[in-house]
Amino acid sequence: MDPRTPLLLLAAVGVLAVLLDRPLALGLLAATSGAVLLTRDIGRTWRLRALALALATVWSTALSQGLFYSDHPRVPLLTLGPMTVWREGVAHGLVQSLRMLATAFAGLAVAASVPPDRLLAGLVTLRVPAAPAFLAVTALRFVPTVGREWATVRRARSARGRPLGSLGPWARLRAEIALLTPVVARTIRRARTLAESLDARGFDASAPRLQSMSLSFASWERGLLLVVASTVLGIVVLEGLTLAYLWEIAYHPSLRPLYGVVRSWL
Amino acid sequence: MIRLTRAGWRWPGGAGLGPVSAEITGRRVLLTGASGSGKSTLLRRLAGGLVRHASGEATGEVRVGASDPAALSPGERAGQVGFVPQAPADQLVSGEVTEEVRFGLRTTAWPPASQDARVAEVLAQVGLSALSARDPHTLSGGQLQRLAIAAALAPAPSLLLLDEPLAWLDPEAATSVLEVLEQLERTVWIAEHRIAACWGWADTVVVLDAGEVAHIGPPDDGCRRVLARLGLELPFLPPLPPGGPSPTPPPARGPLVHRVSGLEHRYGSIVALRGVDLEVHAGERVALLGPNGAGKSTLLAHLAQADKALAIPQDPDLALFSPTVRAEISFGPVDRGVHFDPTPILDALHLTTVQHRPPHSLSRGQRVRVAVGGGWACEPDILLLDEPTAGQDRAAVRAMWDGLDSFAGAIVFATHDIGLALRRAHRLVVLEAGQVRFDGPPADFLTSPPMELSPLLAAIREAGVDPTWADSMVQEA
Repeated sequence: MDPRTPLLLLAAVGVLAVLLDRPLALGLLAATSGAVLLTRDIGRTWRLRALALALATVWSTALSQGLFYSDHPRVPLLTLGPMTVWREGVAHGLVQSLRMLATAFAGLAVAASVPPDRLLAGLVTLRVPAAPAFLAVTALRFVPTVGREWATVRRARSARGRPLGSLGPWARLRAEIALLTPVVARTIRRARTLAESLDARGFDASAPRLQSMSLSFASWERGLLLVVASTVLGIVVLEGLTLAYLWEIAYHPSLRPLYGVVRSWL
Repeated sequence: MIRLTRAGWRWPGGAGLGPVSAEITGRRVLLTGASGSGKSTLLRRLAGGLVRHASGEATGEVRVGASDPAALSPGERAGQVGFVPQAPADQLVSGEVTEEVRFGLRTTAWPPASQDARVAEVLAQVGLSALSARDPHTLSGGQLQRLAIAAALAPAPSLLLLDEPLAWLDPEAATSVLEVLEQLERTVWIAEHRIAACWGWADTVVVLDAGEVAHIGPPDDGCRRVLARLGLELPFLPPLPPGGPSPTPPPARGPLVHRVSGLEHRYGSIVALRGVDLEVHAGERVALLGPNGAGKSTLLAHLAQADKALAIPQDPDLALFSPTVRAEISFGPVDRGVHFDPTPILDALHLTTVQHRPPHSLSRGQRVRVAVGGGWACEPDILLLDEPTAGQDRAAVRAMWDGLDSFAGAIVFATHDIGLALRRAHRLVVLEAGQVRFDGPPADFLTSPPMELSPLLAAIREAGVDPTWADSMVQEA
């Protein structure tokens, strides 16, 4: 697969996550991104982590927005002593969390699908400046390594001290912060080594020369991108027309069914 | 030829290199010295990147051929001087072996039409042609090091500099890397603590001591005397004395603290351990030997599950999370609410003078000792160490093992350092392909009936090694 295909699809998900406002539409977008991620070769543990991330994100965002929603009108959904959870806040939190999840899942799916050097070639071919593209791809490459080191640090601590789960909230927080020290120190050492190696191999950050590999779309990729681009463009036009109507810039009675579609579904 | 004219470097903290004046014409140069003697600084001064990127003060002049590498742009420099830092796994930029090699061709604007041929040529030179389509993350330590060499060689530099390329390699992998370097038709410098491994490879040895050149010359008896005077590792070459080997006799066996029997372990379809039987007794020092992939780390991981066993990670930095050395060593008992005085451990491991410093600000040898001290303070029955001496000079290794003499529990350590195992272990356990091929005292390893072993282990056994020889040389010096 041409690496530009997943990158362009990721961009489309990003645009849709901003444009869409209805929980159902955003839910479908997040579910599609999540389904693609689950089909990647990421192992059972990471699948479970992705699921846990999704649940934690939706729950925490919806609850916090439900508690602190201040606009009016608002309808109480649940009252517990002095605290009220507002229905409109929960709906707003749900929308925001689905926006985040759709883009996060799509980004993870791209990272899990495309080898870093092909990702870099795709970014450079798409006219992303070479130095930041290289920086981003290199950072992405070391995410699993840092994750493994984080796990090693926690094991090393647990072998010597009390289990982290047995600590009180503040002690736990202090312990977790302390555990960042070795991970950060190791990351800095690794970054220094990599920088030395890149410099020695002729990489000049002020004038990077990273010839891209030759890339070409397969016909099915062209078809898929055409469909996605048409869909995104269509939604952009619909949302634009509806905004023009809402902001009293332009209105035409024949477009009322379209306004209805946007309000109900998008 | 490399010419140094009062060449020096001062780090902001004060320590550094030189000034050094020398002309070195050797084609295979071993650069050695104790930790902090300036090996890496000299190598980086030759590579040119130090002056451009590090904060410090350069003095004097460095000439590689006719040019000063520091005056060149990275692209021009890569075509003249190749530099491979430590830790090849940290230097990967691609998801495929060929692309990793091609990276240096892209950045130096090598003609695209000839890149494929150059990549193939370099991979053939380092013996990785068959692995050209592999993901570099799936390579072994020796293969990764050869890939790093290939990546540096791609732009065809006339000088290749390598910083501790053998530090984490088993003897066979180290030999394969040295064989590759021997066949390169260019000047190669290696900064290494593993002097014995490089002795037969080098035509010139440069010994540094506290930033000054202590010796430049061929690897001969004069050089050995300098190494002995500085307390560095010595090439252990003489055959066994007529009376046979004289390793440290094992102590009377303490009570059994752990036993595994018939242990099997698989990673998917790969068998890592098969039918392993092992007993560990109190106070024993057990060395696990064998090539990479033999199952040493897997066996350590199983032993770590025993009651009152404690494993120190291979990378000691990942076990250091306290603000000071003193707090780090006390962490285990204090966290469990036990009053604890770390002074005896600090003294034993020569850490008293740095006890109030942050652990991550110390040298690698000191950081290893802090991590080991933190484990010791928990008073485990078995302390498990994975490659505890890699990348350390002989003085640092000796400081740690002398200190551990007063640790009452058993120590099981995986190592590629056969000299260390012969000198410090009461028992050797040799693993190959997941099976125990030998389990007994070092003397028996050197004299027992022939058995199938990896070529280097077999060669050492055939040649025989008197483990007291190196120490006696130092004492004589």
